[in-house]
Amino acid sequence: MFSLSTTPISSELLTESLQNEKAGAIVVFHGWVRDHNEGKKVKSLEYQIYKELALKEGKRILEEAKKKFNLHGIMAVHREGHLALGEIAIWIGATSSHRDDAFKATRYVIDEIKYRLPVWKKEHYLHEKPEWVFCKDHHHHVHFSEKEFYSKQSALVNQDKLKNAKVLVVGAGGLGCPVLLSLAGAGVGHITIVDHDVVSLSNLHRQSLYSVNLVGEKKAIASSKKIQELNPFIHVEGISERVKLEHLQHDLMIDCTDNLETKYFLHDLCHKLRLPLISSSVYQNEGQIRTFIPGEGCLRCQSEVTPDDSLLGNCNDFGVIGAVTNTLGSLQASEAIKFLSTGENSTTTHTFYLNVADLSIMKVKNFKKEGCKTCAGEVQLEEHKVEVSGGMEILDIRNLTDEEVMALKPHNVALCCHRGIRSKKLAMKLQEEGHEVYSLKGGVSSL
Amino acid sequence: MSTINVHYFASLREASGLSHEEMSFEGTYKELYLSLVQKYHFNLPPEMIMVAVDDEFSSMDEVIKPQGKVVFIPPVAGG
Repeated sequence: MFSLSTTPISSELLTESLQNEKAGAIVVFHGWVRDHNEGKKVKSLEYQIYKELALKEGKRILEEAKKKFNLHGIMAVHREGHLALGEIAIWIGATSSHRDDAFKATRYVIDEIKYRLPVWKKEHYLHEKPEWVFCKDHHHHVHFSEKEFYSKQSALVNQDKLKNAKVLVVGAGGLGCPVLLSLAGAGVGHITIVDHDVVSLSNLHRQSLYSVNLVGEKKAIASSKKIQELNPFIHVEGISERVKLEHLQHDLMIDCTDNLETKYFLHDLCHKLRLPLISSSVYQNEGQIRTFIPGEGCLRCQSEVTPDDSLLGNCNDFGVIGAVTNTLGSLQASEAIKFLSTGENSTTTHTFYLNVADLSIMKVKNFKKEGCKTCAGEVQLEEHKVEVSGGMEILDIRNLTDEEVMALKPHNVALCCHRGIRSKKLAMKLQEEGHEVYSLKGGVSSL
Repeated sequence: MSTINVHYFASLREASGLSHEEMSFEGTYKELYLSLVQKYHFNLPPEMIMVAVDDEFSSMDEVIKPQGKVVFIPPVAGG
């Protein structure tokens, strides 16, 4: 992948060796010997290389780039010896499925090579003595340190506790975006993001991790890439498939979802797993935040029945502005950081309510019912709903084959067949692939 | 006393006239470098120098490892 050459570099041969039908793009960079530097006329260049370390470090840099940018292939060759004007001093090639990764990877590699590779350059001038040159602004350090990254906050948090924390964030939307930005910046060492959705245009006004060029991309993947770029010292993982959440090992769950069914499911799951949960929700101008410590009072203490989503407004249907979701999400992250850093926060004993229309705040004491089963961990998890009895748009699949139905990738509809058996099977399969689709119980015969 | 093999590159090689030499020294790599500055009149202060030991980056404040290969790395200019 990384090599040194004492003879001129053949770009064609190297490009050919990176050919790959999986790749949608190749980006190739040449560093050329130019005829001037700092006002002096250059006539040739000499490279001296500490070979053993250069080969090791070059290999490391390419491996980092391959991992960071999801590359199919990466190659770099650095010249050694005496070079004439116009010769290729360094060749870098990167292949990826999408062009963005290849562009970023080549930039990363040339920048890292300039910082880290033990290579020295002697310029031979027309009218002056030859000189060993280097980029004057790089001579202070090899790379920035973790300490420098957190220097403006380390007096206020327990940085080690944050670094060792494993946090699961469910939902990378209106609340998830500000939560992820704050947790990543603060240095939470391990962040897992779960979201089955893709970025849509109508999200962009409030979901700050995304941009126009990311519409259509999976939110879990796009958001994990963005926060990894923000903080290279943490470990980030994005999951967009349906997974059994109980198999993920974490210290804290953060609920940034937007519907009651999921919120209650996460709430019950956390009580079953004895996992602390910080939950937030927003409706137009109001938001609330509560932290659940299993055993100290839960939603089921107040109501054993899960309220239906039709009772509540949803941001997608009723509207919300980014400033509101960003505010609540940031406060939710602040509660998380306090909890991880000190073991306590302000929303375990009281639920926090904020109304941005008049900036009024309420803190309501949380209620614990004696003998509550959920508090004790005796939880019956409601299986993810596949069948509905109505109240949704219907997609009649009686005249469609299974393959045709799967290919349609239906969304937010209830499949309907004769008796509800085939539609249930297909709905389950589509749900596994991340689609919000249900089956009409009993089929046409129920209508 | 630790016997080590010290390698020079670029301007350090030119100032010392050597690509490498064996020597004995006790202390940190920074202290070793400072003694070499005295001997060869290197024009770069230790803050601008990195050190590699046995072909891996190390720190100038580390105590010298016996029998090691030591390379002082002046500011680099690859690419």
